[in-house]
Amino acid sequence: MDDATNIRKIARLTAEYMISMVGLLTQASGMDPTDILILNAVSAANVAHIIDDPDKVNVYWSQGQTIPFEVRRPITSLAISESLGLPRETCRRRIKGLVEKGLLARQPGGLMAVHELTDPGQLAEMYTANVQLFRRLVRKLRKHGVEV
Amino acid sequence: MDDPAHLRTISRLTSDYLIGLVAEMIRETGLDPVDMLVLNAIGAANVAHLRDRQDLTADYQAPDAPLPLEMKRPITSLAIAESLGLPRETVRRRVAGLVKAGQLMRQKGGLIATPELQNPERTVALAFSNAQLFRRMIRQMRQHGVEI
Repeated sequence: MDDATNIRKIARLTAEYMISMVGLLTQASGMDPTDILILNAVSAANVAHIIDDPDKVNVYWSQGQTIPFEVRRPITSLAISESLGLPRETCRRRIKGLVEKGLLARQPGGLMAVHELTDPGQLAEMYTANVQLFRRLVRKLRKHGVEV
Repeated sequence: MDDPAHLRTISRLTSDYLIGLVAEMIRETGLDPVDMLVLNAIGAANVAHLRDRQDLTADYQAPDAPLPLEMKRPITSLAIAESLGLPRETVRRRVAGLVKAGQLMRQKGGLIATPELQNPERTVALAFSNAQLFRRMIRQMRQHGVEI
């Protein structure tokens, strides 16, 4: 359990991390932050049932593979709007745009994020940049006396 | 340096964390994701110069003891647009709305974020949820074999 001081430090330093990460994503993709949020929420929901289980996901990740699309699960626009707390109509409109851009695909049962297929090189760069920012966040927290 | 499998693990789990946090913020504040991002970027920039000055901030570490406004440093709307990679005009428009909503104050030299003046309990509650979400992410990373 974190004390009040730690909670404050975590809030400040994670906010910096979040802002840097979103800055990177908006600059690299040219997308609006709300679209980025929705796309990433769909992508996370598609693989949540696999990632929750380290044994399952490590079958792919330890081989350096992405999670195959056959085992991903589509998610509805309604579920996304509920999980993000965004108005349904906003989500529906944004999703329509993302489908038109080829970043989301409609499938039986809902939506699948397919942005990994559009530009895998850019995605790999983002992963690396994100991990660097995350490692920096952990270092800063420790420097400020927060145990991680 | 992290191996490729860990790049994926870290990226997926940090993405889950950020999505969860943003959803929590949207629900708590009712703000749109772009407004929230702009507001948080301004809040972080206002106190960036104090990050390594624990001598100055020691009295304000508790989440319910916000920094006095005099200690915050204003930031321009242009600097925020650049750091977030958002169009200037978008940021200018969002900032005007946030000033009207009382979340931001215009001062000599730029903008100061004041959400904690408006609703201190909410700011504390969000910092608390954030710390929990952050701790959960770190636990999940360890379960997936990532060294922190």
